[in-house]
Amino acid sequence: MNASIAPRDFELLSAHLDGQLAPADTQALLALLGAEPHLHEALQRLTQLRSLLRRGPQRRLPRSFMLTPQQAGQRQRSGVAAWSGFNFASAIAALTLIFVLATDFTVNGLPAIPTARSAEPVLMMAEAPQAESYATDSPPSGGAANPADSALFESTPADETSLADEMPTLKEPPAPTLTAWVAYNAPVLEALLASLAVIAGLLAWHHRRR
Amino acid sequence: MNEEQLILAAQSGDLDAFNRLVITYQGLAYNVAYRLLGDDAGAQDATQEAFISAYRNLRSYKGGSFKAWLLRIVTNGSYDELRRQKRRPQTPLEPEPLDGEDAPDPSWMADPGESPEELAERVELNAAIQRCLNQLEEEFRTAVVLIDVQGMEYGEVAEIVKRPLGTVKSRLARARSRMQECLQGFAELLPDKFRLTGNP
Repeated sequence: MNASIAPRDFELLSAHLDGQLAPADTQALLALLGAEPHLHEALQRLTQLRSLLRRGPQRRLPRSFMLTPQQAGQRQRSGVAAWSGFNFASAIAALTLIFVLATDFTVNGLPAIPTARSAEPVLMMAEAPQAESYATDSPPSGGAANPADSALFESTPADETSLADEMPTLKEPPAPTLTAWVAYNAPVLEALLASLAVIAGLLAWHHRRR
Repeated sequence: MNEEQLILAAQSGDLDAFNRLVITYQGLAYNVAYRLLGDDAGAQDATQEAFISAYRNLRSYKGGSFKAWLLRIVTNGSYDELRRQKRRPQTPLEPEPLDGEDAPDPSWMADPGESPEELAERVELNAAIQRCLNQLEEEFRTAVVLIDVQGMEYGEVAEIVKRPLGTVKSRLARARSRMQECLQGFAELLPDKFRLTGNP
């Protein structure tokens, strides 16, 4: 099309058409237009093109684009709620992970504190003083001044039965504590919480990108 | 309330004030989006998203031309929509009309007192312009749509595209040159009075 016109000249013509040239440039261009008929033709074609484009109809609005309260607020609220939810989930997962790691370190890092596998013997040891209390409660050997008192301490078959009934309760495995349970399941919990934290982080990132 | 007061009220959460701004600019925003996309449904989506985005980011508006700020959101949103359409091309349920217009009913263009022939001429002209616009690269299309189709000033466009005035002039000149070449290809389709004279 404008192969015969240098791009720079075409740019000057285009700017001149819109009154965007400096006065000095305009004077120079007008002089050139008088001397170069092909530039004058090019300017006429540009003028027609601009007229053609401006003549193009504006489309009628198909609908109103006013925002409803839902569009203005609900989108924002749902976005914020989801974002806060992910943040909350990440924070909870991270805190729980720290708790599990700390518990694991405390339990395994200090040998004096029992692990889940050694919990039973330790608890049995803890019961020893209770058993000793039975012994201290018994009279010293041969020291029963009062036969009535000594009779009190003589074991009868009935007493043996009652003691025998009580003994098994002492030897029962202790109820599992939360610390022991956490320590026992620490590797699984760590993996689970780490996965949860990563998934929540990825969901939050994805949500923010959208 | 003038525009500045409406913006201030909208920034403090007054949706009615914002909607008054929407009423002022929705015609321009929709037409710019339509010319950039060449597709009615896409233009509606881009315009609606632009207004929602403008409302949500109104606090980032720090003065200057609100029209330029808004049209920047519209043009960016339109090109996002265009890229989305290219990634996921959709096959229309009905064949495209031969004149390239996506609206089968051209009555939206009709002027009162216009003959059917004149209306047909204008439909053809509009289709030819849109086809040529669609062939331009984004930056050239933006320049010609905003300056030649919408009649905006160079300075406003420079603000919208965030480029120096010289870049806008240069882009517009190249865009006009390509539009001339393209429209010559539709010379037979164009009504006589619209044919560009002279050999390019």
